[in-house]
Amino acid sequence: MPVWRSAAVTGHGRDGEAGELDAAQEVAALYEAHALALIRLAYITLGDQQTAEDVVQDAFSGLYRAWHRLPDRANLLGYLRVSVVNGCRTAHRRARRKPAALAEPDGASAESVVLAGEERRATVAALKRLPPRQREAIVLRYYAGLPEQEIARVMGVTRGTVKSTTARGMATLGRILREES
Amino acid sequence: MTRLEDRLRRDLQAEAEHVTPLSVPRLRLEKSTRFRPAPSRITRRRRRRLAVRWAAGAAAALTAAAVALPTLVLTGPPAVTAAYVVKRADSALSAAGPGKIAQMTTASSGGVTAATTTEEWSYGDQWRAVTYSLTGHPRSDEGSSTASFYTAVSYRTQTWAHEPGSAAAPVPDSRGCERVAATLPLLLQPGLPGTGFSASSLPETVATELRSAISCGALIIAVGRQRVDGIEAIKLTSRQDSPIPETIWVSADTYLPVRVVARSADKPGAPWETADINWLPPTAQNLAKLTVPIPAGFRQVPAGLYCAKPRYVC
Repeated sequence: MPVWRSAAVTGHGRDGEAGELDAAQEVAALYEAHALALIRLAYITLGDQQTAEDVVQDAFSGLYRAWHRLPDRANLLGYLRVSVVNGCRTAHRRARRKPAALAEPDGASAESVVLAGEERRATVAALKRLPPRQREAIVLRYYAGLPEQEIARVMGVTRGTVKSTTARGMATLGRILREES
Repeated sequence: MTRLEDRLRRDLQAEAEHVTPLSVPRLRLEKSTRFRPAPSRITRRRRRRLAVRWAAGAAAALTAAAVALPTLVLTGPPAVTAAYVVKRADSALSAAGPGKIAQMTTASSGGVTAATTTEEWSYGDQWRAVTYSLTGHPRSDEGSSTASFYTAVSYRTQTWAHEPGSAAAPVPDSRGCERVAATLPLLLQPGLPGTGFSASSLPETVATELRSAISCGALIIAVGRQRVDGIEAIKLTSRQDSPIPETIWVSADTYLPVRVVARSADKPGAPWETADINWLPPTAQNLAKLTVPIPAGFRQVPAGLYCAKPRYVC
């Protein structure tokens, strides 16, 4: 049987390729719309732009691979946020195995260190000292501006846990900033 | 809303603007395997046969190796001086430079860059280095040879550049150990200032970098020998007054370095760099590692526009 005929009979081939093309286009459109915001979210969480870019790249690649298995495509941004937050956790775990990997300022930040206000630097430094979960909750709440319910979904915890984690994080952050000033 | 909440919102928004719209890299979508049909029964059978053959072959090879390999016995503290080991290592590096492919995997943390891993190869006048991010993605790939003088690929911008020309020897080292110490903790990082490489000359080979590290380290022999990746090694460590706080393991058999750990200061928590070195025979398979592959779909850009600074992949 010629190749083109077998493809038509089995349903693979052209239909599959068209589906793949659609998925690629949809994911590319999502990337154009949300990549910057997601890289910024990962950057605030991790403190390293290169790693943030990789985490977001992985999230979109994951979405592309899972495209035809997704039960619901209504909240793709939510799906991507979860992937990015999970990717940041993985990067944190890897960084813990390499001492001081993320604690040190990166090369690109050398210029910004000079330009940035003292207060802002202190805030970012204090945030980096929080445990990863508290940092995540605070970034999602005060940077991404998500409601508690959405934060709970992204972090995979209950609303109550979000409340208590955020409160503990804020208390620690306030204490660190008071000590620093 | 409290003052702290206000401050957080304001400062985090400002910090996030560090990532500009122009800095967002292009999306890379890997080829999906979702549409690949399930393997046919014949393919599955063939795979099973191959797996069985492979397992049988591997078992035979392991048995043969167990018979052929001599028993390795760790000896006590070496009866040689550090000066002797340094001299032998220097001679071994001089000989290995043109004769073997040096493969060096360097992991670093802190200092002037974020944590990265770099893989570097050098053989004669051929050289290549691939830099990976913390998550293991390639960031850049660059290499030089007499045939195609300098090729660089940026995975971030999905571009590549090629700079033909006649290769010149590395810039002579005029500042000696001061120059080497100035690069700490990234003693063996390819492409950093001070390594004597510019757009118009070849980079220092791995062997040359290691010779500098060894000769500048004011080394003494640490007590006992250790195994590094299965190789019995003599451990050398720098004296406290050394400008380069480092520890080097050289093979007790070949005197070639197999691991180097350098720090920016001799104290815990200081940024560090670890390099693992393999010395490979110049087989066709190993020589292929010196070629920079250009990934499909990457765009060629003029070499002059590729990087602001010579030899830095932007």
